[in-house]
Amino acid sequence: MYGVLSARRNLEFFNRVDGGGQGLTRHDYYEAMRRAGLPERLFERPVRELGRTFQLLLWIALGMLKNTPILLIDEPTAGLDLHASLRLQDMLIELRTRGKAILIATSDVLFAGRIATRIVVMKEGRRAGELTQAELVARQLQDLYLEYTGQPIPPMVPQPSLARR
Amino acid sequence: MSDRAPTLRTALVVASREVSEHARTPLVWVLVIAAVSLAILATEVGVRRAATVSQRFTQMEEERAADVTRNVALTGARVEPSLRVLRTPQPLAMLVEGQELGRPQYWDFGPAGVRSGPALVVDSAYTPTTQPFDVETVIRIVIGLLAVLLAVESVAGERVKGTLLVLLGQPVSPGAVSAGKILGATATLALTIACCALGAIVTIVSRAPQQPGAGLYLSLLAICTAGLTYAVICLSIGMLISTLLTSYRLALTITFAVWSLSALMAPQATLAIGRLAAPVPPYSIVEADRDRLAQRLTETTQRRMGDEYAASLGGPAAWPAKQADAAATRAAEKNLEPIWSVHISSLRRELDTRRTAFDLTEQRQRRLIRRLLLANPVAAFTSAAGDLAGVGDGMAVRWRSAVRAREAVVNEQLFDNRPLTMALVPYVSSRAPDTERRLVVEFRSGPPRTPSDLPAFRLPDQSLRHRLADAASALLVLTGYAAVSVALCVLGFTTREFDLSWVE
Repeated sequence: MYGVLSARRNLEFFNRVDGGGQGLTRHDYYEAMRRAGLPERLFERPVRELGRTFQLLLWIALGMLKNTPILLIDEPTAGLDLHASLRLQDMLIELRTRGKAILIATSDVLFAGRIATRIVVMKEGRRAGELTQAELVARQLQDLYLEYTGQPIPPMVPQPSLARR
Repeated sequence: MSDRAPTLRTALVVASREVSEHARTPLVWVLVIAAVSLAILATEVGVRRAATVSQRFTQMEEERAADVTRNVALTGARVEPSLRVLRTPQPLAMLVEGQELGRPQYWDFGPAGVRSGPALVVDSAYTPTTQPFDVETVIRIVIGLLAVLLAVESVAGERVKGTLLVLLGQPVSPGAVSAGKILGATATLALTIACCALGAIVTIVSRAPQQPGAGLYLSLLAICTAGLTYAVICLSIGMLISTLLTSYRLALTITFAVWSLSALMAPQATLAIGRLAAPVPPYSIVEADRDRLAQRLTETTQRRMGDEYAASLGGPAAWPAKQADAAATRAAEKNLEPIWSVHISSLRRELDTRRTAFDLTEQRQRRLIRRLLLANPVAAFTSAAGDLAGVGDGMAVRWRSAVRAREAVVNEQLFDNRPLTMALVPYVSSRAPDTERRLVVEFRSGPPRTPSDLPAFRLPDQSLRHRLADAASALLVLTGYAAVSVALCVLGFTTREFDLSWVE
């Protein structure tokens, strides 16, 4: 998005540039941002001052405004803390329940396990396997990942130096 | 194409966003403020310059008036300052200096032709700066720089930030996006130029001793329109370079280098190349050479007339008796008339041949410089601004024609049919009988004439319509450059494949 423009101005621009947004007012854009979970204090702040989560929420607000049937999201949790990740998770689940198709490319297997209904595991650019939601519930996602990719997830072992401290 | 947004709407939305972004960019504000401040300063300098020129003009008018009073009995044989044609100051020179200070301040008429007075730049009354500083310079340099920066930021800047890719990822036509970018930047440039013009107007209204008429403001509007066209050319070329080059820094460097070389050097370099390729001898040398020729031929004729006169009157010993005889003297004088007529026609022929040769040389240089000026958009803008302000080549040609017309009248009525002619009559001095001596004998064929006997000098037409006609070719070429550069920019943007590898 355009860093010097406000969140609302960016939303308005991308909504109108392809001919959409006819008759929408400033308050309609505020409402879309509100629904996407963006705090009101950020509505008129330049996008460069917004964190990555909020920028992502702004894109989601745009998707909602445009009533996009499909959302493609690349690495949504990269750089997010747990709190932000959970907030994003809730938003995506809500969109899913509204009937939106969401395709997420992520290396965050825990996040994928929490929200995905179908998971396709990619290995070296090729599809290594596919799971349904039922399979997900029955099995540990980490094990599945190992099975398909052949790469174990490193165990969480405390560092000796850190343990001494 | 059905999934594409309507082109005009997309272009307008993109243009509106561009303007919003410019309004929030500090560098743009710095350049806008610099442009407006410099425009005000340049106009202030122009107003003072115009006041100096006007003061000098008034002074020369007073000098001429005093001279007319002194020369009530005009002989018609010498260069008379009372015949002087003063070049009226061009009030628009307070906006565009052009050739105002480099042109003669007046023309004097003599039997050998016109003699140009000194230009104001060589007159001690005014010490000029080495480079002109006027509204045209401000538009050419500061507005041009702003256009270049907007162009690079709009394409290369957006590309490295990744926003261009996002924008082109929308269902929009790339042509509409590029058109919108050009439109947005043009709006910013137009606003900046309008602020500069407003600053200039306020300065003129508050500082000029004599308030100019509506013509000045219309001319300023025309100059600003030409300036905007020039800025659009800079913008389109900058955007094209930014589209073709993958690196932001390279795009910025090359665009800036191309623009700075053109904007800072093109007008002066064009003149220098034109003068080198088609040299014209300086006026002063040509005029001095012509004066020498006229003097030599006239003296030869006067000697011949003197010889003829002396022969018709007999030897010097017979003179007193013959001179006492009015009829004989008149007959002797009558014999001189054909000699003088032949001399005048041959002198005119000789001077005309020289003048035609000089005119042809000058015309060749003028034509070459004109072509060179039109070959470069920057120089074309400078030329158009000069012509619109009435301080360009077009007005110089008009003044020359007016002076030539005056010369023809003065020659016919004053110098070729002089009321007073002279003959150099030989005589022998008793003190030095071997030395040839000549006596100046004046023949008055009519009553003395005064400058008021001549019809009034017809000033060249300086109306806006004529100035527009002078600038028409430059304006046309400028518009052509703008159309071609915008078309190339849109074409380049539409055909170029933008991908993620360019995002830094």
